[in-house]
Amino acid sequence: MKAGHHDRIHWGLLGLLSFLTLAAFIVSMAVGRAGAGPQIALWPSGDAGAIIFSQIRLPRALLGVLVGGSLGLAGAALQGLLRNPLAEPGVLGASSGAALGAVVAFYFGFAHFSNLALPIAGVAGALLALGIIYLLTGKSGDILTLVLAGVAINALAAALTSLALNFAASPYAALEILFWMLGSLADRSLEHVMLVLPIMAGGWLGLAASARGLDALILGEDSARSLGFEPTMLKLLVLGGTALAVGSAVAITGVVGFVGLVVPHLLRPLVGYRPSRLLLPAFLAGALLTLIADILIRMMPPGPELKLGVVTALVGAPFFLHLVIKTRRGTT
Amino acid sequence: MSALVARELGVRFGKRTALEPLDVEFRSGEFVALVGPNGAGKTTLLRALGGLVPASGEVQFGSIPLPELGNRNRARAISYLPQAAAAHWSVSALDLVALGRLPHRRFGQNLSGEDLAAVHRALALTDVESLQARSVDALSSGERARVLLARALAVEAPVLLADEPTAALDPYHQLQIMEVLAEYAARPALVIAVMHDLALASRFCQRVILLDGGKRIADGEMATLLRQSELEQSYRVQLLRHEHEGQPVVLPWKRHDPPPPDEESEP
Repeated sequence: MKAGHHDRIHWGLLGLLSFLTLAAFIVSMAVGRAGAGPQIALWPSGDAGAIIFSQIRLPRALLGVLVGGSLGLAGAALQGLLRNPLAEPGVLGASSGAALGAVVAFYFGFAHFSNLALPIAGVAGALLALGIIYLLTGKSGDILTLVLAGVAINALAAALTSLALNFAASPYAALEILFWMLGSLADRSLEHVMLVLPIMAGGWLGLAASARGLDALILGEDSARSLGFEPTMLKLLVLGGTALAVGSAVAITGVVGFVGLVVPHLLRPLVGYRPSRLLLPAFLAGALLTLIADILIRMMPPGPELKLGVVTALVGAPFFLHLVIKTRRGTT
Repeated sequence: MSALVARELGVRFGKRTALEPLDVEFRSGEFVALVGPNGAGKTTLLRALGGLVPASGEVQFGSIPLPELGNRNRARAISYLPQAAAAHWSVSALDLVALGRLPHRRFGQNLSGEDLAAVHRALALTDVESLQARSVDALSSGERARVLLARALAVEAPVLLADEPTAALDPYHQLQIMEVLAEYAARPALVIAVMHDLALASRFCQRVILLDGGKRIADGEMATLLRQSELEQSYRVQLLRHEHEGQPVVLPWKRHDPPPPDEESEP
């Protein structure tokens, strides 16, 4: 039967992506500049080995999975909600909103009060950005309004962030903020991971809960409502879930853009264009892509490390342009 | 027992009254046409009956008010086919029709055997079984309209609300869709359709509700309605009437003289 055939492809895809993500995770643990052989990934030995493993490699690989997964999942859910392949946390301004929130927390010293200040500020910034998007899409969710709203929010966040840099206490502080904004998984600790994991997981739950409703939205908001899914509720789930998952991710790693744009787009044909079927593969592929990018960065010749966010933007921005052109031709 | 009962059902959009409060009852087995000129409130009444638009008054399914039914049970009871329905992603026709089974499935649950059987019954009813593997983007407008109708049928709800199900279709497919809806009503189920084509409405629908300016002007058999002047007044056209094989045939023939300009302003 046809449906059974679909199921087999779906499980095959999930299996393949899970395997590749696990493999990339192990490779990520094995690669690095600290003087430890690749065997550290499977068998950390000696005091130095244990420290490199638990303090450097493990948090970095874990964050790759959590942040990349969050971005892929949020991108897939946002595209489903807005029925638009150009929707993405970065394009809609959620990432830069979160970055602004984190910079504000950093700048005004909230970050010293509590470890949670930074992630909370990130979530708040993302919520604010997505709240504006929500208000704008209440009446019409057309593509131009959305992308323009994203442009405006991104510009505003960039301006306010520049303001903070402008008045930074010292050039060193400004530089620190700037480098953090570029987006990187390096030098984060397991405490960072444990700090954001519950917030992220809450976001994932919200996004996952929207799955069936996103399918119903294929038919438009009225039909979705007639099938028992209240569009307002779906918007709250997806935008709230995105704010939690992406906001906390950005607060820890800075802005890693375009993962949420590229990943769902590449996978969509493989899941028969069904938004609900896209979510889990997009999480896995987002994690996979982020891990691979982070591995490649660390295999580059010595020198200042290339930042992850710079790499994803270099690859993602041309891809975005390509999508815009395709959408204009109406062939997406 | 009545399938759907509306009491004092009215809709306002801001200050504008889209539907003046009315009482109306529908029985299972009826195929009802909502007719009237543009902006008469046909779609508003249809959506209000489905609980899809904030309305005053009350709609009952059987004897249960819609809000008490809950979203999920309401979705199982009342299926809705919107005007100019479209699909936003290029899913396969089969996956699209299967969306009609969403109210019958729980979170994370796949299509059951019963769901698949319902999907295939709907595909067969609208004669689109051969298209099931095709992407909805690759279908002609007639094929897509039938697939979207199959989606609404796949809910297998006792009430089906369809907004202009035959718009933009050629005569062959218009007749086909009306036959499918009439067959569905004969199960028995309640089918209410917004119709622009008076000829099709008089051919297939036993009962016609005429709306104009948010008010119900007439409610009854098409044959009776055609003997009166309300249809022509509301539509502002002269109608040619004829009878063929014992059934009324109606054709809009000539516009009445245009009314004074201030009445024209209503969109």
